[in-house]
Amino acid sequence: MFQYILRRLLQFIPVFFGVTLVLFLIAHYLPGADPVQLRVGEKALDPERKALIVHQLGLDRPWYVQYGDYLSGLSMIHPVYYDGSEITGDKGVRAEVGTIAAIVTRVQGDVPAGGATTYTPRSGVIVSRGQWGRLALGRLTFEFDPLDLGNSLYQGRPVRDILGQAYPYTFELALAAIILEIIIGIGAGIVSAVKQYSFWDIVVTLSTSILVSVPVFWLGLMLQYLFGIWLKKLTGGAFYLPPMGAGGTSSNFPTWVYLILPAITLASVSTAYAARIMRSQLLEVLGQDYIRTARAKGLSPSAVLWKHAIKNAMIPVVTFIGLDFGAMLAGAILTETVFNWPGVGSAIYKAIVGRDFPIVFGGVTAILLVVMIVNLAVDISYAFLDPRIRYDAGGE
Amino acid sequence: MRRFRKSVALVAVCALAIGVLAGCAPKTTTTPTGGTTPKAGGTMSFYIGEPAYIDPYNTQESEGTEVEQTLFDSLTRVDPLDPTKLLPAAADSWSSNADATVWTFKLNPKDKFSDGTAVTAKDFVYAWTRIVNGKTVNTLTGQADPSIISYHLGFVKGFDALAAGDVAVLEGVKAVDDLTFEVTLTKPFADFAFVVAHPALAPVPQALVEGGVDFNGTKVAFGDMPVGNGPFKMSEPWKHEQYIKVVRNDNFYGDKPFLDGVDFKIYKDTEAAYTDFQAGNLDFSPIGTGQIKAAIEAYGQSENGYTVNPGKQCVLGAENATYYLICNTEDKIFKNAGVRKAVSLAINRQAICDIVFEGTRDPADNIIPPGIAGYQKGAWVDTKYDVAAAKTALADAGFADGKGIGTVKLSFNSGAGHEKIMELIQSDMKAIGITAVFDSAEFPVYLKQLDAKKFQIGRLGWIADYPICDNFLYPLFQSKSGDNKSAYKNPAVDTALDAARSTLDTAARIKAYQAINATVQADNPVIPVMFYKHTRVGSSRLHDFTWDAQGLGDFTKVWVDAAAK
Repeated sequence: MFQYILRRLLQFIPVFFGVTLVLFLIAHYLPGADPVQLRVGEKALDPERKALIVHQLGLDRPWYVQYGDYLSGLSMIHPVYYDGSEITGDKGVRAEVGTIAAIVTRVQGDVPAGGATTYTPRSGVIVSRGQWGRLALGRLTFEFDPLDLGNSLYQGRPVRDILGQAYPYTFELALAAIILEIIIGIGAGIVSAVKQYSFWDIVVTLSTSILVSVPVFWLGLMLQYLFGIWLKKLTGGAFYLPPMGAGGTSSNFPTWVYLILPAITLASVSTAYAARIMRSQLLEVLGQDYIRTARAKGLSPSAVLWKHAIKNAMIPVVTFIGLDFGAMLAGAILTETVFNWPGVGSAIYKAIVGRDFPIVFGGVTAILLVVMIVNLAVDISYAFLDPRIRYDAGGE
Repeated sequence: MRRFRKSVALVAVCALAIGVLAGCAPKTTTTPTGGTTPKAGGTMSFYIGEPAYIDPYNTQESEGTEVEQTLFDSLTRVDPLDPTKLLPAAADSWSSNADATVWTFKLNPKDKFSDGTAVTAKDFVYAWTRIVNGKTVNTLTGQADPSIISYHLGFVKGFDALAAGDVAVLEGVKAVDDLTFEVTLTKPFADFAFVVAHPALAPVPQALVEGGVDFNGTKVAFGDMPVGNGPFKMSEPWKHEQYIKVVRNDNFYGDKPFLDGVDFKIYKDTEAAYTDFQAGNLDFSPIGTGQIKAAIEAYGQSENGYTVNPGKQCVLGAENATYYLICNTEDKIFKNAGVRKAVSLAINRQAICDIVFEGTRDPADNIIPPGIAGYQKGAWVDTKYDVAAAKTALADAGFADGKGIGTVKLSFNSGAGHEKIMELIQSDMKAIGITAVFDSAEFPVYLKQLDAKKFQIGRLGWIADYPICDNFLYPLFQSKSGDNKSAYKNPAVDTALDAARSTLDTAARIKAYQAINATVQADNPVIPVMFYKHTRVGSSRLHDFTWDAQGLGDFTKVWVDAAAK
């Protein structure tokens, strides 16, 4: 199992390089990729001012240099070779003289005993290194720094802060939606399969058909009108649910109340699919020989269902829910827009439209990592659901 | 099977019942309350999109400016109800020398930042230097992030040197003493007092910009919690993508607001904001698409188009902004003034305003919108709709019935709602024999196209930074202006613009701009199509809230009636 997990984690590396490399190439060669002009809109920007901003943002460097810079910020470990000559510049400001093998930065001066040092790779840009300490092995030193995803080209804020503030909301929403999906989707599927052709089976079948057909944003809008406006006017607020936002210091409800409508909306289509998959899988399993044998042996219907049938029917459902959870954690743009939810989906969408590439790169990297972890968790769960599945050597 | 049929029937009855109930949704209405005596207290909620910056040095779009102008007070202020009038603000009075190159502002001695420290001329020197300096550090990132709105100070002496980083000071600004701020310009500019009214040109406290702002024992970057001299102050740091809360500044030197505070609620989408307004959670919102007539019916219309009172809540007044077509005067077809005239005469502007905008825009008869001092009704004579005259003009230009013109490219940025307008214009051009095809591109690509002059006829909108004629005529028609996308070159206009700028007498100056306007309109380098108008609505809680032609709210006069629903 450990080897399997390690193998899967290592697979992330080529996927990460492949995706981010393609993104960088697209960002560099996409027509109209001029984020500085986009900041200004239709008004003209003085060409000299624009050139200055472009240079300070590093956008005039070749794409592979920008890519290297991005990887360097992501790595959090920076190898530096101090060449032992006298420190130039102000105290604490080191002078860069080049790179060794395109990876290790060569710096004039002695290895500082401690504390961060700063340097200026280009006008107006100050980079701090060794904020979290350094490990000197002779002249070769490893400097440790927090994650650096660069700064937003439009908002003038660190990308780490932008995504760091948005991701908790995305996670909250995704978690709430997936819990609804698991409870209602699987529950409805089980009821529908067990009571085939009954009133409840028809209700589940019809409602899942409707939910699958209804656009998510339309459902969201309808829920907003129903619970946020119409019922409020009718009842004076008795069944009122805040139609949007994530709460605030002066909001009338605790934060979790604001999650209700967006979570229902986000979970709607997936719940329908989960119910349908559960139903069809369970019906198939309930028709198997071993289930007939279990019944013939005298096991109670609930024991047959819960101990034997459901576990075997769960694998495709778990796969679906796992993939869905990963997709939700990548951000739900429509739901976030309709409900004004401050998640990561709309942040990345806005960044794509505005050519704010640092946010796009940071967001995509985070999504890759999240989806990889979720998929790995789903794969591992198979081993618990089906004893025949093993991930040790020769077992996969 | 019988059980199955019973189940189906039961489900069908339930579905029918839900459908009937859904049709019984009540209409949204408001209950206006009476009373005209302002009441102190209460908080107003206001729609904005996520700003890029609220630090004055780089507030560039309307959202940031809306917040920033509650926190900061500039030297002068435009009267919210009369954009031709300038009022004292941080400056009690101002004057210029004989040729309008040196301006002296006398500051109000009571002016203070919200932390109680006095505002002095040095604070203006620091603030303006910060705007121009190419090495200004963004307090949120710690990196240099030069202001993109430094053009406001483009004609202050020493601008180029400081912008290039050759020097560290802006030569043309001087603190003569604590209460006297002197500005020297490189060229005369008689309307400079309007320029300094821009919210971005407010003073800032250097110590807090560079050291951070204390909030509950921790230091917050100035960019997230600016401290200014305006009628309000931040109650907590900016909650990105969610809200910005400001409360009344009791150290404000002017009339204290009635409100306890304003909650700027941040929305990703104007439709979402309008939904929240209908739910009673937002006091001032854009009106949803296609719902203007319904909103007017439900909430009433403001009498003057800008001020909200109960029962008169929809503000639909004219903005200081014009939507226009740009003709590439270097193009082989559109270099012909007769062709430009013909296209202008052929466009049915009223139909565009009625069909696409439900009558909430006005046909443009000038490049300068109404409300700007110097606007003259019908000044651009070729903006009248006259198909016969258009055909005659086209024939006079040598292209009778459009023969010889070929297919014309009608360029615009896609995905921003311009398609419907362009369809009507395309149809109008067809009526005089010109076949136009769409050439749409994403906004960044479209801008590049305009700059590279790879277009024949395109569209743009111009929103005034300051409500003066110069802010339309100079950027759009001065031959070296970066905003002159039509590449219009007229040395006589260039000379006249410089002369107008140095005309101190207001009436004479306005006359001069009107004469320039008359010259330009005869050439039709651009084709004004319509004037923008507000489409916003306020809740019945609001009294005397004005949202002016520049799109800035006057939060000092508004009061709320907490009892209204």
